Amino acid sequence: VTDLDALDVLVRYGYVILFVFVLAEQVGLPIPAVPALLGVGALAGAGRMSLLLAFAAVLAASLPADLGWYELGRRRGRAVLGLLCRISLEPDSCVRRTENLFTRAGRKALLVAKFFPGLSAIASPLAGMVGVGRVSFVVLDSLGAVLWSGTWMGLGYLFSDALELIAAHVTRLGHYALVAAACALVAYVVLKFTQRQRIFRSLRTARITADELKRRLEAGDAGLVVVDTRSALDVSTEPYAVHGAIWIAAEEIDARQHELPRDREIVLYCT
Amino acid sequence: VALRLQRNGLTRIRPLEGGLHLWRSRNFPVDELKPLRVITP
Repeated sequence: VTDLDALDVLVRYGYVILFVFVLAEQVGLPIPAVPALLGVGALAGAGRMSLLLAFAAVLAASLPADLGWYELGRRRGRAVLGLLCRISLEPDSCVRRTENLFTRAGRKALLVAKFFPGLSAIASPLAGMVGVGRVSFVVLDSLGAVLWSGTWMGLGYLFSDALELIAAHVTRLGHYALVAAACALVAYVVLKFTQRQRIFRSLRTARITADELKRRLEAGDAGLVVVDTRSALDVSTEPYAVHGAIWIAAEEIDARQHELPRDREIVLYCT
Repeated sequence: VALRLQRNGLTRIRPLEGGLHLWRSRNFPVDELKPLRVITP
């Protein structure tokens, strides 16, 4: 396959490639769609692709996926976030950042959620959970998709010459560039996965069961403090706490850790 | 959160198995909190 053939393939299947990358990212897989958006923007800048069709491909990929997550969030609540946690590489921080974004910005968070890697898939079920209306969701999510893809494709369009040079260098490197990129991606996934497993292993050994906690609370055990670490949004959607618990949202824990006694067991929980 | 506290010297950290969801599903005692902020649909 010559370079010209490869470019022709990219031009011919660019919309499909864009569709697949955007769909993968919106489904929650750790595959970034930004390189595809930049590439399509650059090709549009060179007059080889249409931005209008590219926007159509982005919407065709993102809207059904987002709507699916939204409906799941609406019907199944937090169980859906549990599913996304199993797919995502940094689920805990990503769920919390999205919740904080919703707390600060409300429904308008949907306009910008796609700009934050890993957040966009969480934003849709969360919108369903907090009761954003279906029509509002479709409008805001579509606008968000256009804003996000338009920004990246616009950058590709503006810097199409520079991107063409980079593409030419990559083409000259041939298979080596492809192998290096694949190795970097695999290394990243493995690193994140092992980090996560190590954290879970260390915490699993120290866990307290609900039965043990209830027994100790009923016995008036003064050797423990129970801390609810949920975000403000979580507390709003489920305004209950374990009896006697103090609420310190995770993002405030550094500032308020002096409130926690060092000589007692600290039981933490979230949702 | 547990790791952050451990790094800051609070070593006796015990995450609650199953979180609030399991606690409530077992009908164990809870306190009601005032909703802090509501996002209007």
